[in-house]
Amino acid sequence: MSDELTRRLRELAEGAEAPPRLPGAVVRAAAGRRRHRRRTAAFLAGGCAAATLAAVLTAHVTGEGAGHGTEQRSSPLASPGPGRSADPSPGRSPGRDVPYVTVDLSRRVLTAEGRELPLSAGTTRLPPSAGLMTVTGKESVRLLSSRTAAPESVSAVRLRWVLELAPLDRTGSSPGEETGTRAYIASALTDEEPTPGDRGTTVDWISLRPTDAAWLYQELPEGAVVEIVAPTEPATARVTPTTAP
Amino acid sequence: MTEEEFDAFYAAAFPRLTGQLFAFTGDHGEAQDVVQEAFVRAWDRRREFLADGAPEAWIRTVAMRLAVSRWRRARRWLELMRRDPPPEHAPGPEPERAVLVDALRRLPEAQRMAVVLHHLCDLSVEQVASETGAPVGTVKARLSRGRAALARELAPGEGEKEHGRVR
Repeated sequence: MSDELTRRLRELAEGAEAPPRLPGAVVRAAAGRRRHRRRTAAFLAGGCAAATLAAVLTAHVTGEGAGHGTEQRSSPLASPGPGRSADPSPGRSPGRDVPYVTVDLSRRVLTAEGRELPLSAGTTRLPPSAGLMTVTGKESVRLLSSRTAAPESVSAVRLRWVLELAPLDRTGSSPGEETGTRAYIASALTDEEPTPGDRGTTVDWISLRPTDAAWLYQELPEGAVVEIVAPTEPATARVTPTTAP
Repeated sequence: MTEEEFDAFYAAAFPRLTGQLFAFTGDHGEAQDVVQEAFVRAWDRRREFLADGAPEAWIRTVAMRLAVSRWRRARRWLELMRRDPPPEHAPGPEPERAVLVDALRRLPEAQRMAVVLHHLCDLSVEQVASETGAPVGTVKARLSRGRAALARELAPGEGEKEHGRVR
């Protein structure tokens, strides 16, 4: 029975073997995100302790120094804002971690490091590429040409904080089924799109508020993984962005 | 271990480990979930993972513990699962395979783990004892009882012959 059992168990296991559902980069990115969350929690706990200590010491010192013209200075740890600044001065996650960003086209929200940034991303008729992407280029200013509804009318726009994305798996075996198609994340044109997230008006790039785009530009290195989740409505046409000369 | 080495190891070991965990859990989705999670933990703790010297065994151990911990957290749900197992997605169950999966599901968790580690993963009784934290004698007893129970399920009449003997 032992040999027979071993044989049957091996057959069972071999029959149940399945390829990985996610690429290794996504697994590493998930580990990086988890470590980052753990460190953030530890940092916040330490920060709270330090803030408490600073408050006690400050009260003690100012209590002693009252009436002596002591200048009070706020401790950076004692007065953290409730959220992170939108300015491009973020703390970077550990160097070898692969940052992971999710773009939900249905909700028009980009999620990065716990922040949810409103976005605009094409129209239902002209959605941007979807699937697992990776950041392949960064340019603080870039001229993009954007084909609009009429194929012959091509208008070039100058965008800031441009992140160029390419499908993570060019073989098409990953969820990035739009093999070879690039996508872009960039700052909104402030005058044209003052409130990203309310509606989709950009044609072929994912636009964020300028401060959010600047923050993300600083935060995401090349190689970061961006998962673009397609909207639920069926799209009837797509437009591929091309780089203007 | 570089990112490329990890990715290559992940791509090579994931299918094999999923098969082994399927034998332990009896559920494809569960097996894939716990193996996936074990790889995430492996990269997160790669120093510990590499120091172990047997990365695949490390992943398997973590995945099995994850599976056990999931069962314990959702015992009531598992009872329902046992009575009404979810439909298999792929590949289609053959009768012989379905009988074996069902027989494995009926084994107590400790016996199933011992049987899978010893008979499928080729661990010696001592290694199984080390991996499960149980004394060698306990592992032998679990193997013996597990084999006897499986023999009764798979080939009625052979259970008594095997009972008490450990390979």
